[in-house]
Amino acid sequence: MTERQFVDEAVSRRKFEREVARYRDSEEVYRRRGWFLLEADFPTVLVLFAALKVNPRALVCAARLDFTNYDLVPPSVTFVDPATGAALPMKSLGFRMLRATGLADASPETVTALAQQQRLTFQELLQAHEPDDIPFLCLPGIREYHDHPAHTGDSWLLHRRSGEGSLHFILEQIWASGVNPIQAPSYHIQQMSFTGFQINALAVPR
Amino acid sequence: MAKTSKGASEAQTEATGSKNKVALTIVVNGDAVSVEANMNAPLHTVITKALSESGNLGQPPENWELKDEAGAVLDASKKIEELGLVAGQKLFLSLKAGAAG
Repeated sequence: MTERQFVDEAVSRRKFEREVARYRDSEEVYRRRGWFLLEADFPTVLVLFAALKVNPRALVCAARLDFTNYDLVPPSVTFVDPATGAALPMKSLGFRMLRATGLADASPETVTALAQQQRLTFQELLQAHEPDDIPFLCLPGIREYHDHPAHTGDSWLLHRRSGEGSLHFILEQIWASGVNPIQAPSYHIQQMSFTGFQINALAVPR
Repeated sequence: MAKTSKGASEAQTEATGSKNKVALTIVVNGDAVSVEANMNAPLHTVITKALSESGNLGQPPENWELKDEAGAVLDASKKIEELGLVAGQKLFLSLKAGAAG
């Protein structure tokens, strides 16, 4: 979602540039995590995320952050096709952003055991009402979260000084919940149907 | 002329000039600050210092988590020496995400 700039543009632009400069300071580390900054042109930043633990390495998603009116308003986040820039509907995302619920203090052994028993429960952080809708990231510090009618009681202004809504914070959430947990591609093999037998021509009576 | 090699612990502490102290680079929500830490102190002491140095006082220290470059969360109750941290090492202090959905 793009809205008109009503904050003094010089202010938003300066804060945008500060966020990008901070990113550049740690860019080497971010690359090793699989984050690639493709564009940074006010008011938008485009970052591509790759899953580096997967072989062959996979391009998981591209996130476009819009810093219009920053930081009176938090950044907007849209997942886009990195080639065309077109916003992707929920059905075309190909990845999920998850948070495990009820496991805040659980040991790694407990989490492993629950996973083996398929008893882990996850909260979906990417939300859409229909598969054809553009999904939104439902977290404090993201414009779509604070604009949602369900969150009118949780104003961005209560979070603005907390660090949520910074470029690093948002990219970290996308990576930690959506990209870093990926360990292997998942395929769905369509069930084969029986169509008859292959014959040995030599065995057929002449 | 024979070269003298420095031990690992000596190399770790040369940034601060004290045998028990080490300088760590803490990236607080993207903003890097240098923090001097005692090798025998628990890691959470670094969190408090880094938040103070960077002016991030809007959230209490328990709402932050310190991660290594690969994104693994470090146990803040462990001693810095026990975690094998070395001088100049870059760590990431990130705010835990709030309630979602």
